[in-house]
Formats: sequence, structure tokens, C-alpha cells
Amino acid sequence: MFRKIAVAAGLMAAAFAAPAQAQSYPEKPIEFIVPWGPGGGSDTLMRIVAQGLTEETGQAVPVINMPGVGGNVGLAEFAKRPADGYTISQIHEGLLVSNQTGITELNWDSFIPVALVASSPQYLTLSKNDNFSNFEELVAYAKAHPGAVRAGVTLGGIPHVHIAMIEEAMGLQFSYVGYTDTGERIRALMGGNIDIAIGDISSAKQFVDNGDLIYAAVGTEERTDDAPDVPTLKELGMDAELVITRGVVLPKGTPQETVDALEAHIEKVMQREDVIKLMKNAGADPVFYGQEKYSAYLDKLNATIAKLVGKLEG
Amino acid sequence: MLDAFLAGAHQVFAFDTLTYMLIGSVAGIIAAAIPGFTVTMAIILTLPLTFAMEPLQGVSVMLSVYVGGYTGGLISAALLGIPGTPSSVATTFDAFPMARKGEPGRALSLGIWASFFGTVISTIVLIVAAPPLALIAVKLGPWEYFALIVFALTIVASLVGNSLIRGLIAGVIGLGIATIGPDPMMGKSRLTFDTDLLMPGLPFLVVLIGIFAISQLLSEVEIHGKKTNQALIPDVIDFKTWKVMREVLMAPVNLFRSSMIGVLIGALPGAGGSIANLLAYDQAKRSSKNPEKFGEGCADGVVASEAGNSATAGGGLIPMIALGIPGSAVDAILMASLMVHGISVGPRLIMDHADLAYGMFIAMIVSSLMMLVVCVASMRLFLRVTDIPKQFIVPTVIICCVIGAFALNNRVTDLYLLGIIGLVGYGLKSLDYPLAPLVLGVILGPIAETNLRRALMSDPDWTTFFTRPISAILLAAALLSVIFSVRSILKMRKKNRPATDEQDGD
Amino acid sequence: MTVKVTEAAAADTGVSAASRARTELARLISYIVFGGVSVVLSSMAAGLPTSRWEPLGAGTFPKLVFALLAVLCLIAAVRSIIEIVRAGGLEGVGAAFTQWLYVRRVAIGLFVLFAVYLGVMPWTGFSLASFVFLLIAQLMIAGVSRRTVIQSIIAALIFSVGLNLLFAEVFNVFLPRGVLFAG
Repeated sequence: MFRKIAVAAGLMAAAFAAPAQAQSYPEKPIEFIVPWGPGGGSDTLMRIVAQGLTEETGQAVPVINMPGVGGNVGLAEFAKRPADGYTISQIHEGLLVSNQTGITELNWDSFIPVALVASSPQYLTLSKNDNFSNFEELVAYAKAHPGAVRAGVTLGGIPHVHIAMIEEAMGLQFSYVGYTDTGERIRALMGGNIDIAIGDISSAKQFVDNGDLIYAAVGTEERTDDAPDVPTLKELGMDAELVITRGVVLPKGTPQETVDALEAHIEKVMQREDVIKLMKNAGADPVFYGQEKYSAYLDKLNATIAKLVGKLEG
Repeated sequence: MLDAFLAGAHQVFAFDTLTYMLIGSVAGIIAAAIPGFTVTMAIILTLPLTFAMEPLQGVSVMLSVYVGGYTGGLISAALLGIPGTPSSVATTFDAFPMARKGEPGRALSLGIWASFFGTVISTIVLIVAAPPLALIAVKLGPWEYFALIVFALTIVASLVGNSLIRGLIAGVIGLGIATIGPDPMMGKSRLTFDTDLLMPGLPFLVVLIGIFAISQLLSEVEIHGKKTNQALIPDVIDFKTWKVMREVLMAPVNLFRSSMIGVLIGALPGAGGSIANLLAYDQAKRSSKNPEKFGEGCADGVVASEAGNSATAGGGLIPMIALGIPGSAVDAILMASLMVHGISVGPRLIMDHADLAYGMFIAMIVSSLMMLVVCVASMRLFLRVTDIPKQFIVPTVIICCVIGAFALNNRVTDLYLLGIIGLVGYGLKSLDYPLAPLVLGVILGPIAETNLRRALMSDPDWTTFFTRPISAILLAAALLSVIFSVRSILKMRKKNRPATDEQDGD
Repeated sequence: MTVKVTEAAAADTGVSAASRARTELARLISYIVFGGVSVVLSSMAAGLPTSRWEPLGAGTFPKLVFALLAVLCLIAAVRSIIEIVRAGGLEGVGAAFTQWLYVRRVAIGLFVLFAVYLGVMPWTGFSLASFVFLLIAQLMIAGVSRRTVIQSIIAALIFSVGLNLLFAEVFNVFLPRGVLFAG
């Protein structure tokens, strides 16, 4: 996951030369609170967006990392900031899960979702072992041996939700081992200390190419360009989407014209070729959902997580 | 292979690369010398600058910052008694007393040479044995990590100072402090009293700065008897650079053992320089014929602690170059800098980009030479720090600590924690509690807890700890270590029964 | 100053047993404080919910750690009491405490100043708070004279406003800004 910091920092370096644009918003620098530590997926992708915004609007968009308690520290601080459009922040699926499991009071609707900008496909990744080497074998083995397959997840986090979705759809039962960081999970897979985990393209691709790990399935609608041989869960008979999406939010109470202006700026940012390329390098698909589509998406997602939350609690 | 080696060498020995590396080396040393600023921070700040460079050039510059940074911590450890980086805690034990006894030049020289040899030894191990060591490091499961931490905890016995019980209390306080905040598995908040202050937990760097820096700075302004503002350093200083080099090399066992500890700990993802620094010091003390001299300005102590932390630089690169798994945050940033240039670091790096891998080895050696030259040339300048009157040093260093603590997470509450922990640290210091065990507890506690819980989740059977061979060996070593410490403490107590009583007065 | 020197000399020669008892009392208090706090924290940790994902819940480790701390403090406290009794009582505790504080007067003053500095930073911002902190702290340690005042003002400016500018402009690291004063 640290791999991504590089992409971000490159942007910082180029951040200074930016053309100005004649528009009322923004008139001064916009602070971008990223509620996660430097070097993580959110940090990298949001730095790419911040850089794009800087070039698009002509105003500096400094990223401020405020990690802690699954994003809650930064978002709590963000919620207190004036709703004038000069402080923006970012959320992802993790917030919805934290809300449902009672870690935080905040949820997506505590803020104004402005635009969804990045979607990272998640891959079901297997360690090399004697019992299974693809999705069908995994399902067969796990059916025959309930609880024998060890899944590495962030307990009560998004990876847990994803594995639980597979469990539910396929009628399986795994046992869980807590690993909070994608890098740690990949390492544990390599060492054979866990059997399956959810990983993204940038953290596991090299090991898959080298034959150390196996991508069993990808959680997108269609096969990905990065790993065209990996079947989707849909092809394998499971109707579920395993992605992590990240979007920009504003505090409640921000004037509608400011929200619209920011949305328009982000839409332009997401059409920039450099932004698209950098995001792909960082292992995410650049996308753009505006306010309404993003809200609808989050609402639907919230319902899915609420349904599964019983499987996570405890 | 030779082609790749030469291609790598050609790039590293280009004039501009060497110039940038020199600047990087100086920057790393300075950043690490300032308490509160860390090597990681320096590397993150260097990162954007390397993007305009060739991949190997960029990595070489970052390596020079990295290697310089592992030495820079020595300077404030020796001259101010404050670890400049988390990995120079043990360096304060002997380098500071040595400097206070009027040999600051020797303390610095010893540390610099030890760092140099430590880096070189670690680089050699990296070149020779990276792939097998990396595979072992990855195979280690939660059982082995837990057993290793148990073993590392037994070194508290070497750090207790005058009183075993107070040392143990300090160590357990450290373990306890680290449990406050979100729990490492599920993020459920623990013992936070629902306050914003404690909700995110107590960051290690903030605890370190508070416990060591703030308490040390406050005790600097105590007035015992006459107001002494005299210069610490005599007018004529002889660094005895070459004599000290021989001195370091004359104790090859200590140097080699400490470096190997650094390499091995560095190769374990997630362990890191601070553990290596303390562990190497502990092992040197245990195998010394004169363990009672440790803590009073003993040369072996300085060498062990500095060789130990510097060797983690090469050690951390082992899993990174061999497998693409970073050993520490700094290694992760190195990997990131390559990724931006479209080079993905992984198990195929040595095959796909051999010139780069060899270039990195060369850059490590060049960086350590540069560190040596820069340090030897500028030692006299560093010693000037001790000439600056207290009224400037103390408040200014406090400001640096504040900046370091804040810049970590951009949380103002971390500054309040810094104040509270500083006060507690000062109180503990005044009551003759040793502070190093507390810091050790804070470092090791979360790793111990995470791996214990992980081990039991993977396999609810407790006996697995004893049936997995490496785990069993480490636990046996921990037991032996405890027995050994108890025996030597009893022996020491018998030997200086009257002397310890003197220690107790204020 | 002279008072202190004679007292220290006296302490060295005659009343070392009593002085040891006094130091031990201070430690005893610390053992009781730590012990008490750890009992509370241990029982709080025991009350944390267990997890169905793992045999050890969030509370187990802190519960054990703080229980161990409580036991260690109890042992230390008992030994401390024995030591005090053996040394023969606690005469002169008050005077010794005053002396203890007197030696640390600048340190305590500096800490109070530090606490105030951290407390006001969210309102005044980094630059202003640091400037005032540095100025007062330097004068507190060095004493007030024309030379020290001038030196201190210069040093304080460099390390408050100067550092803030350096970090903001060069490194893009933003130090706390104040509500009342943005610098």
C-alpha cells in the first residue's frame, strides 16, 4: 500500500505551476483533509485528485493527513469546519461499515457527497496450497471442511464485508484472522499463515505473476484490463460487487452553488489524461459519479452493509 | 552479471548523483539529529525531489538520507542525552555519560565508526544472503513474532538501572500505555474515557519525545548548587579519529554480533531500528566481562547500539529487494519512488532490473562512506551545539519537539499528550525510574498483542507456540535470558551492596 | 544558593538514612498512584465486550497488563514501607519537599509555561504562541538583562515565525493555525 505514496508525491512536486481560471469559487486555497495516513490508498488517490484540482482551479489544494480510528478522527474534525467549500474531505466504504458496527456515529449522510472519483477492484487472492488453486476448488474444499480455510481480514472492516459476502453467497464458513493492512495480508499469504485474502492489483500483482499467489476472482462487473484471465464473481455464479470506491465530500450546510461548482471542477479533473494515468498506476479505476448518482450509490451500499452487519458484529 | 554491476556502478558514480547523495547525506544527518524529527519524515520530504531523477539516482539519494539518518540520531543522543530518532534510545545510555565525562569527541567518533561498519556489514549480508533470509522472514507466522517479542521483552532486565522493580514497573506501564486507544484488531476503542484526547491512542513518537526529550530538557534547567553554565567541552578536543577506528575494530565480536542483530531485526517486516538498537545493547552488556561499566560511558555500549541500528538499514532492504516486501515505512517509501518510474519492486526485481539492484548495493556502500566523511568533517561543528547556552538550546529543542509531534498526524490533541507525557516522564525520572523499559514496552506491546491474538485466531491451540520450532527456540531463549538476568542481578547485588545505597539519595 | 549548598553537604554526611526514607516516601506515593490507576484500568478492560472472532477479546491483553502492573506496584509499595520503617521514620519531609521543589523551580516554571503554550496554541496559532513561549523561556533561564532580551527576541523570532514559514513554504507542512490569529 505504501507503493502508492510515490505517485502522490510526484504530484506534489508538480503542484506549483497552475493556470488560473476566472470563477468565483474557489477564491483561495482549499484544504483537503484526508482522514488516513500518508502512503495509503486513499492518500495517494486523493493527492492525485488534489493535484488535478489545483491545476483546474488555479488554487492550491494542500492535502492534510489526519489518521486515526478508521478515519473517524479526521472526519470528526472535518465536520466541525466551516461549510464554505474551503475544506473538503474524502470517504470510502470503511466509514459505512464503521457506522454500522458502532465504531462511529458519522455516516455518509453526515456529509454532502459531491463526487465519486475512484473505484479499486478487489481480487480474491489465494495462497499456494495443496487443497485448492481456483475458485471452484476453494468452494468445494470449504464446503467439505467448514472453518478450515483461514481468511485474513480487517475484522469489522471492508475486507471482512467482502469475505462475508462470498461466505453468504456460496454458503461457506471460513475462519478469520485479523490483519489490518493489505501489505500484511499479502505477506501472510506468501508465508502460508493464511489461505485467502482480498487484495488489490498494486499490492499482489507481482506475486501472482511470479506464481507465488493466485487471483481466484475479481469483484467487478466485467473482467479487468490488468488481469484479463481472472474470472469475475458474476461468471462464477455470485451476484456481488467487491470494490472500494472513494469520493469527495463537503460538510453539511455548504451552499448548493458551491457544491455544484466543486462537482463541476472535479468532473473536469476526472477527464484529465494525467489524472487518469496516475490513478491507473495506483491500482484504481478513475470514474466520475456526480452528487445524485454518488448519493444513490452510497444509499444502496449502506443497505447491503446493513444486511451483512449481523455477520460482522462481535 | 558483471555488465549489470558495471551499469549500476556507472550510474551511481556519475558526478551529479554523487552531489545529490552528498546533500542527501547531510540532510539525513541533520534531520535525525534534531529531536522530534525523524528519518521517515526526511525521506518523505526528499521523495518529491527524486521524481525528476533517474530511478537509480533517486533511490541512491534516498538511501543516502536513510544511512545518514541512522547516524544522525547519535549526535543528540551523545551531546544532549535525547535520542534524536526512535532508533537511538540505547545510544543515550553510554554515549551521553561519556560525553559528560569530557569525552564527547570520542563518543561521537565511536558511534560514527560503529554506524559505518554496521552499515557495511549489513550491506554485505544483503548482497550475499538476501533471498534465503527474506524467505525465512516471510515464513514467520504470528507465533514466531510473539515469541520474538517475548524474548525482546526480557532485555528490560538490562535496562533497569538501580532498581529491578522500578524497571519492571516502567516496562509494564509502557505495555499499558500502548493499549489505550483503538484496539489493534477491530478498532474498538479501549480505556479512552470517551475523550478526543485518548481516542486515537498514544502515538509512539509522541511518547518517545515526551518521555525522553521533554523530561531531559526540564532536568537540564534544574539548579543543583552552583549555577553552572560552563562549557561542556574542553578547549582542545582530539577526536582521535583513527585511534577510535582501531578501537572499534579491536572488538570485532561485539561489532559483528551487534550488526547481525541489526540485520536480522531489520529483515523482519515491522520490527525496526529501535528494537535492534536496544537488543544489540542488551546482548553486548550480557556478554561483556564488565557489565557494571555499561551505563557509565562504556565504549562497547556505544558501538553495540550504533552498529545495531545502522545495520537495520541493510537488513530492511533484504525483504524489499528479494521479495518486494518493505521491512519498514522507509523501505516502503523507497519502493514507492521506484514505482513512480514504472519499476515494480517484487520477487522479479533482481532478474528484471539487475543493474538497479546492484546499483542499490553500491549506493549503500557509497552512502555509508559519505556519512563517514560528512560526520568526521563536521563533528567539530556539532560539538559547538554544546557551547550554545542553555537558554537557547532548551526552549528551541522544545519547539522542535512540538513540531515533530504535530506534523506526525496533524492533531492538536497530540500536543496535549506530549505535555502530559512529558510531565509524567519528568516525574518518573526524578524518582529514579528507568525510562528505557517504558519506551521498550510501548514499542513491543502492540506487536505482542496483535500477534498473540492473531496466533490464537489462526489456531486456538496454545501449544502451537511450543510445537513450531522457531517459536519454541525463541521462547526457550527468553526463559534462559530471564534466568541469566536474575543470576547476574543477584551477583551484582552481592558485589555492590553498599554502593547501591548511595544511589538512592537525590 | 548558599543555603542549598550547606543543606546538600549536610545531607551527604549526617542524615542519609532520613533522606533515603524521604525519597522512598515519594516513590511509595508513585507506587500507590500507579497501582490504583492500574486497578481501575484493569477492571475497565475486563468490562470490554468479548469477540466471537477470536478467543482473546479486545480487553484481555490490557486486563492482564494492568493487573500485572497492580501486583508489581503492590510489591514495590510493601518493600518501600519496610524501607521507610527500617530507616527510622520521616522527620523533615516538609522541608525536604520544599527543597526538592526549590531545586526544580525553573524546570517547574518551564513546564507550566509549556502547558500554557500548548493550551493557547489553538487560539493564537503556532507562530505567536511559540514566539512568546521562546521569549519568556529564554529570559526565565538566562535572567533579564538588556543583552539577553535582545538576543532572546532575535532567537524567538527565528524559531517561531521563521520555522513556520520554512515548513509552510518549503515543506508544505502546516503548523497549527489560530482562531484569533492566522499566522
